[in-house]
Amino acid sequence: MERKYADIEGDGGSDILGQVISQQERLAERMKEIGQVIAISSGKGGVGKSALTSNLAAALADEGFRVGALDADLNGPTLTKMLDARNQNLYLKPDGVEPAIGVLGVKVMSMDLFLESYDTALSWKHATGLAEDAFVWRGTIETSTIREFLADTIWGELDYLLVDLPPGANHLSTLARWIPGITGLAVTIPSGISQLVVKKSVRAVQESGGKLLGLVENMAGYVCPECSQISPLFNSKPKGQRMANSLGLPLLSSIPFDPRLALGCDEGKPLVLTHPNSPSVGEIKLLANKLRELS
Amino acid sequence: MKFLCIPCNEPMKLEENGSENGNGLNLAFKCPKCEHNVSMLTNSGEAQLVKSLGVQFGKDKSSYKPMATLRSSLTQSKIQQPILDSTLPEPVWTSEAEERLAQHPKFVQPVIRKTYNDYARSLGLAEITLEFMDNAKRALAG
Ligand SMILES: Nc1ncnc2c1ncn2[C@@H]1O[C@H](COP(=O)(O)OP(=O)(O)OP(=O)(O)O)[C@@H](O)[C@H]1O
Ligand SMILES: [Mg+2]
Ligand SMILES: [Zn+2]
Repeated sequence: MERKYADIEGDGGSDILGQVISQQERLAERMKEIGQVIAISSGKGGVGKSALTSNLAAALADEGFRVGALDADLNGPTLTKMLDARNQNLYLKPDGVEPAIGVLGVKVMSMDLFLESYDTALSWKHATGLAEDAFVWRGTIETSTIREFLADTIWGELDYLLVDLPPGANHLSTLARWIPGITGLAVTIPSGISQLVVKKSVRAVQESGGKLLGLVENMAGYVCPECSQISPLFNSKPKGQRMANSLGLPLLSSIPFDPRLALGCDEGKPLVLTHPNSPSVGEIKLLANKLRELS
Repeated sequence: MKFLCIPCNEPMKLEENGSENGNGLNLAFKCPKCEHNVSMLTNSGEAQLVKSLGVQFGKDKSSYKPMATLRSSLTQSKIQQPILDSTLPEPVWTSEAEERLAQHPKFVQPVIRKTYNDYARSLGLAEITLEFMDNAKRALAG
């Protein structure tokens, strides 16, 4: 009788499954050297995920921890800028690619390090040569790329690997397929629209079993650079606590807006290192301490 | 995907010479009994799907190629030059050079060190001296 698909063992040597498994094993091997992997997430864009990632990385490194920062925002990478690791060379070695080095020695991997210059837009080859087809593969290639960033970067031993996610509902669960121990922070700002969108994305993460450590409310009030008084930035008072309660998450931090923080991001000098007395920095340092306790 | 040789009722084996033809793939399978050959040709779209998973065909598939999907999928013209194969170890810093580095604020020192190291490695140099730092500063600023 003629044999059916399931009757034939193996796949004649192309070994697609085997290759996928060894990709996974390589990733797991690399992650073994890393204490905690924490993703900074938000359903909403522009709420300060990257600003928080870079300042948290600096705060943790300042306390003597070994820290890595992965920029998973392939199309809008900002971490090399915020951590002063732009335009560095990458070195290919038999066991992976050496990452860039940012402030306080934070190890940084980001898409822009592979591109001609910091401003080069990301563009993938599309085999058919038709630009219309590019989007078909974009998702898979980008997912593979993030897997490669995790697995093929020579991170070495780290206490923390922070992952700066692009805005979107549920990137955390994609990562959780590869890194079972990964946890996330959900970032919001006090505007009604942001809260609506962030709530939705938090629920999506929760429903898929993703583990969130808590909520971070950014831009919660405005710090006057002269007198350090904090006044409301949005019309509404910060209501992060209420939002956190309704989601069943702890409110881990309320970080006020400090214009010097934005400037520090632009200059690659995290505020945590340059203005230790800013109330925003106080909050970020407290958050860093909480991460230690939550681990 | 599996191939069965109907006359022999035998699964065919991939020949280790899978290659890319143009944008597609060309994979040869052979029946181990009767030596009958077939070729599987894919169009560019099918090839791209397989590649976007980071899966390889042919001889090289067992050898580890870091960031292979990323590097082979980027539009070539956009790849920055210096993703370097480097067997050179990190350069050694003379004590004078270390002293000068130590004058910078602590938090930028690792970045400055990496910048000088990159430049030295790109020239194949193994030592960072004060003179090298002066030259590098001029070269990198210009
Ligand atoms: N607490 C803060 N005080 C002052 N400026 C801030 C604060 N948080 C964020 N910013 C600034 O707001 C802008 C947006 O922040 P950031 O780029 O970190 O947001 P994001 O969530 O990463 O955005 P995207 O979704 O595009 O990745 C940046 O210029 C950043 O420096
Ligand atoms: Mg960002
Ligand atoms: Zn046969």
